[in-house]
Amino acid sequence: MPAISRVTGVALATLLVGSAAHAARLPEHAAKVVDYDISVRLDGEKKELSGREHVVWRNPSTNPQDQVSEIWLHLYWNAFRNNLSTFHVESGGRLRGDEAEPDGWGSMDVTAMKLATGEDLLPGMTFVHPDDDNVNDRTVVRVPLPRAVPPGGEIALDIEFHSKIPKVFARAGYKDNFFAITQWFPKIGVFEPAGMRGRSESGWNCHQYHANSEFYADYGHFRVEMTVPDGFTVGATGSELSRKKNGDGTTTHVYEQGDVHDFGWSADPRFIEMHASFSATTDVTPGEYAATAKLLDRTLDEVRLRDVDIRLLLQPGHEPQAARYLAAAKLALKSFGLWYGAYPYPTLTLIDPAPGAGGASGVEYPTLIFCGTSYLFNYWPTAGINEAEIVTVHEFGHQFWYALVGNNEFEEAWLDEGFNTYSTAKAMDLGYGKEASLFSFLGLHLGNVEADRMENGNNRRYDKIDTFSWNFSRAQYPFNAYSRPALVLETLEGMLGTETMARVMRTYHERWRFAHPRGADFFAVAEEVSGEDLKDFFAQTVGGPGIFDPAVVDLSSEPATEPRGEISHDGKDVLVDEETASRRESAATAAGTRAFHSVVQLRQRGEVILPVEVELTFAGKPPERRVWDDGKRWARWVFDRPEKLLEVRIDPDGKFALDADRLNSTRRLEPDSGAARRLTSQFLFWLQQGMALLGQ
Amino acid sequence: MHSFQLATAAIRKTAKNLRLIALLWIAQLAIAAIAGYPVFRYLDSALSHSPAGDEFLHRFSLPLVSDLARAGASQGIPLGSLLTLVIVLTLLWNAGAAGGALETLLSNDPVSTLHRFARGAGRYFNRFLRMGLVAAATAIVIAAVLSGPVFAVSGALDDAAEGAKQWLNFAGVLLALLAVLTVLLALDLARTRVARDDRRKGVAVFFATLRALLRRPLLVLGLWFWLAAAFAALALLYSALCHVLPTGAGLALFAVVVLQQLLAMARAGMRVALWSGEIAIVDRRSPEPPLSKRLAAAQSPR
Repeated sequence: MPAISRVTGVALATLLVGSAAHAARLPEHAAKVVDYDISVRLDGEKKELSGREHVVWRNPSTNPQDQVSEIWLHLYWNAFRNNLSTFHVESGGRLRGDEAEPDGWGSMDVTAMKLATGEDLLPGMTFVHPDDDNVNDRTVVRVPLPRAVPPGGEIALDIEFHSKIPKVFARAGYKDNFFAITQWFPKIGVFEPAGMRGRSESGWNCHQYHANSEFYADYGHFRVEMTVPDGFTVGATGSELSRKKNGDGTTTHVYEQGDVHDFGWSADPRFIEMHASFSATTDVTPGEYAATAKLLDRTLDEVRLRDVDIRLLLQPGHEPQAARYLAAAKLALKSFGLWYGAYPYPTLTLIDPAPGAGGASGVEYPTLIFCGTSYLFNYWPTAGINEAEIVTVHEFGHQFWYALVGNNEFEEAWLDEGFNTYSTAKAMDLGYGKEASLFSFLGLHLGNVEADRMENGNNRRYDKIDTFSWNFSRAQYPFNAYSRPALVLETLEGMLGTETMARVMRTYHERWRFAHPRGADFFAVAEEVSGEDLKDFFAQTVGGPGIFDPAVVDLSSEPATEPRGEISHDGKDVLVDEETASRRESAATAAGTRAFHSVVQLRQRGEVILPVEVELTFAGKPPERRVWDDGKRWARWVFDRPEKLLEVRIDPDGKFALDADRLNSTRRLEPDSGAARRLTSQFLFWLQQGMALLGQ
Repeated sequence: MHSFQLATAAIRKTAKNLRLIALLWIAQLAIAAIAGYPVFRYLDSALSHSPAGDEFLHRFSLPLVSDLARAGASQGIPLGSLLTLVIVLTLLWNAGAAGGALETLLSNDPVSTLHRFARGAGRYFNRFLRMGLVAAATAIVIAAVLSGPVFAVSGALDDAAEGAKQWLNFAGVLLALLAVLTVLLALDLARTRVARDDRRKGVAVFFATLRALLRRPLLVLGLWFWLAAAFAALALLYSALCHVLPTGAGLALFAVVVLQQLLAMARAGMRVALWSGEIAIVDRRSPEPPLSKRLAAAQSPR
């Protein structure tokens, strides 16, 4: 208790001094670029949506030349219109382990589009294909405007649309009466003035719907009226303002949320509704606040969290896992909030998709996340598989890396998926133990970081992280968007230290909350906060496809030999014959003065070359460390010392998570078969058990 | 006789056949070593000079296994082929071992266990192999017939009935396993009858035995259950001992290996006990034929 009192005292003092900096560091609100007011009706029988939206868009540019004469919009669900869409061509109808059903087509048709002043815009609307010239793709439209919108000016559009809901496949759709209504309304792209995200010329950034990419949009305010059949429970982005029965067998739910760039919702009559509260006072201890403030060099006020209402919409049969969902959500709210800044919204809604609707699992929208689990995980031995937890923590993490820091996922997916994979692993390790944060199953354990490491190897040297989402070679997107960036960040943390890395991440989040950063912006923050030149590191690990695999390829340590032949001595050449040299060597051995000639050969088996520590252990001496930082692909170190060199370890502290093969990073002089024997004994034992099973 | 009494009697009888148990265990270990030795050679080359590999002395590390597998793949370790070879050899060995073990248990010659085992293995190999192949096909058919409808019902259920689907799938797997077990026990009983009576038409005996077993399965399944339970208890004991033993190399590793092989020997012992119990069941349900018939069978050309 005295310790807590001291902490509290220090904290209070810090609070008084530091409160002024809070607003400057962590913006309270986004700049409003676009506001949506949408009314939509769900036809549960026909599986259709009919909607009207009133959109107000503001030209965010300050450059007088940016007179915007056209609007670009996403019509995402046309990705499911046929198998000629870019989405279907790229995915082949299979995505994230899910497969499109043969008759599961969906579509979105804009039936009317007018300016608020009455001009009809529909006749000028044309489909465009900025990414691949696929004329069959209808996921982006360009709409010429009768009058250009000047910088700072605004335009109001009234749009009517009709959509056929696809059978759930990729993020959106229906399964029986479960509806995942996401990426569902005509949505305005992002107008990027010159200079924004490194653009040389102003223009719209509005990519087609690709299999491997999802989000990029501007912030604003959403008010959405959803009319659904009576008996449906609705979960949506934001807070429910009202709920009204219409008397015609339908109910209208009205939700609202500001400072977000998207709006998703879900409906299902089978949902079991549960509630929990995250309390910034009782779910986080004063000690945790104080430790975080100290770690991040922030005031207590800056790291203070906010109360959040958590709503869980669960599938029947998954009740035993409800507590797991809610505990994971609280863990995430606390961890991400303390590390990066308070979650600013008052609500968080967790959707547990219906069985068979796996395509809607693991998807994120502002304040609304689609989780996912299985009935199997209710019971031993699969209860130790942290499916419910990791999906919840990961999708919640996207509230920070996607919703609050709104990078362009089409172009730089790693900025949300990779950052989130890194952050998720940290939160999961904190909550469920580093060794088994992913699963504990029949005596086998695996942590999240180690799982990422397992994906790294020689077959990963063909794509680089910094690649548009649809341009990766086969099966390389998940590794380069998720695991590899997480390993890059883990490695950066190893190089900079935990405290510096925590401050880098915090600063980056603070600076780019409610904004659209690119990778270079993170690089700049990392260099600024750490004071290190990291250009080469990022160029190799993010900008290049190479792998990192330093290896000790040889180690020898032999008794030193005496010189032989004609040796210069006191200005004369003296002949040292074999017998003399041998005698001298024997004498030195007998006297215990004979040195050892040790040779170490190091090699960079991968393309990435980073400065690494190397630990050398000489007999009878404490381990010594030196840094291999000459930038060359190999090194040969020679030591003539009285002690024998016994062992060499590259990266002895395991800082370089990017190391593609840890086994070749260490080498000892004398072989020891202990590990091979133990592993072989296990192999033989289980093989014998299997053989016994063949004969009953 | 109650199945529990039968099982305890079989275990008592097995205790008098330690040489047979040792023979089965050694043979199994030898076959396993066909894959085990190359694996050890590879692991030794990959780990003996790498201190990072010492993590395996303390725990089984999936990430390091992944590193090993990638290196092994690049070095062309034919693990799949080796395991296939082991499986094929095991299946062949099972046919021979059944003949050898039954001959050892059934005969009272004053010759050595090894002699009797080799004699039985050679005498019955062809017949037992044919019976084994037929039994395998029969097991697949019966398992499919029994569990197929269960899986079909599960597949036809709506996804919303997630719990019911999972339980049905579980039941389907259990039914399939039960079918396989029943057929294998029938194979054992049939082989016992063939060995005891030196019957020629093994396949016919197998089907007759299977029909009889399906009519009265409890005693045989009960015998198997008690022996399996005894082995499960030993396996639990092994698991508990492994947890309390220190990790590392040297004596600790030696102790683990001894425990592992003791359990493998116990498994062989339970197999012999099962045969002993099955001989008792066969003797009770179908008494030995008259001596004249046996002599005639023994003199018939083979």
